[in-house]
Amino acid sequence: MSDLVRLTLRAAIDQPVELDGLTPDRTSNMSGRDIATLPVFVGSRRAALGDFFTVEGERSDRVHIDGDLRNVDGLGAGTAGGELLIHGNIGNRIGAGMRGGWIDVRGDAGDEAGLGMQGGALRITGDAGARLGAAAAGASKGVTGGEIVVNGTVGVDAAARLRRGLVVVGGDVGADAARAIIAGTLVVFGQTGANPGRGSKRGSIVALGEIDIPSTYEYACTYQPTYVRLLLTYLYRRYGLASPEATLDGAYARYCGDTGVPGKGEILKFQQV
Amino acid sequence: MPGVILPFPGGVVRSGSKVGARHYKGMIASTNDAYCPTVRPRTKSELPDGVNAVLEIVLDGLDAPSISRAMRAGIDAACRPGVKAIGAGNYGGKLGPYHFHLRQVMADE
Repeated sequence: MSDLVRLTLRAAIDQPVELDGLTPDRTSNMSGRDIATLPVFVGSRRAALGDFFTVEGERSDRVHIDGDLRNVDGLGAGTAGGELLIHGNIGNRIGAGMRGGWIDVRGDAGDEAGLGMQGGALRITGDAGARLGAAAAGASKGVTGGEIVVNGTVGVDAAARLRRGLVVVGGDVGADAARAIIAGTLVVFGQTGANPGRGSKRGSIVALGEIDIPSTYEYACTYQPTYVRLLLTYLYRRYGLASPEATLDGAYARYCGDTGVPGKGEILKFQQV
Repeated sequence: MPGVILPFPGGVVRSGSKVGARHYKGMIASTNDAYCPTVRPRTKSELPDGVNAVLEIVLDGLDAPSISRAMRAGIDAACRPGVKAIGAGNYGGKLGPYHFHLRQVMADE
């Protein structure tokens, strides 16, 4: 047993590789040799993880990976526990369907990060692509638990069909964010794209930056929601995501909607002084 | 004030409550939605435009004169810039037989 399992990329990967079998909870009872023989799919061709990475350490639920993995998809999918730290960029579906544990990407992530997540925490220090924390194709529910925090910008359709949990975007977010959400919270520090919260039944969008309120949301009041202060303080303490001082004690306009559903959701828009 | 207590922590209840509930028979009290600014578009609101918060002060007293004295002192203290209106809820008589009419309370000295 070692303190951690370290994987280092042997050479640059220039074609899509599917690596959905590697999770820190699985490596906690696998030898280094077993880890190296985990299946990897290059297109339809089956290969082994050891063909792409050197493996150091064994039987640990802490996995650190070094290298540019932008062509590696499905890493950490279904993670139930442990820690997965990636020093570099990562491809699509990082942490999809994860149920627990901590995944930390020190770089950019592709599309569908945290897709259908159920628990745990997914942290991305760079940017993320489309459908962050969204629902899998055809699924009625998206994220049902856990936390996704992205420091940078995020593409379209983020947090679609959110059922529970927290999705935080430190930069701007694309169009159709929080589409048809049932519950849960989306926090956007930057600019929110067009049509946020369209068709939502419940749930909250907290917009600290610019946002165009859809016509199907109705103004309720301007107030200082205590829970936003608690939420922003929590994000700073756990993820180091600092909020402007004014957003902690400032006023927020509350809009109810989507009235086209009709829904009981809300958009809280920070009021710049 | 002698003979009077404020039963809620800090003495203030945010948005207030109403007797009973619209959808749950067993619930003895629920949010007074007509006076809750955050759900204004979703209900038949009684709030004038520009009202962003409603604070309810609940008093328990030993007798009617004590309550009247306390209400008078409280209303005097609450009359500050930014306050749009002060009212008293009698909940249609559901909360007890005693009614305190504000004009009469403020007229007594």
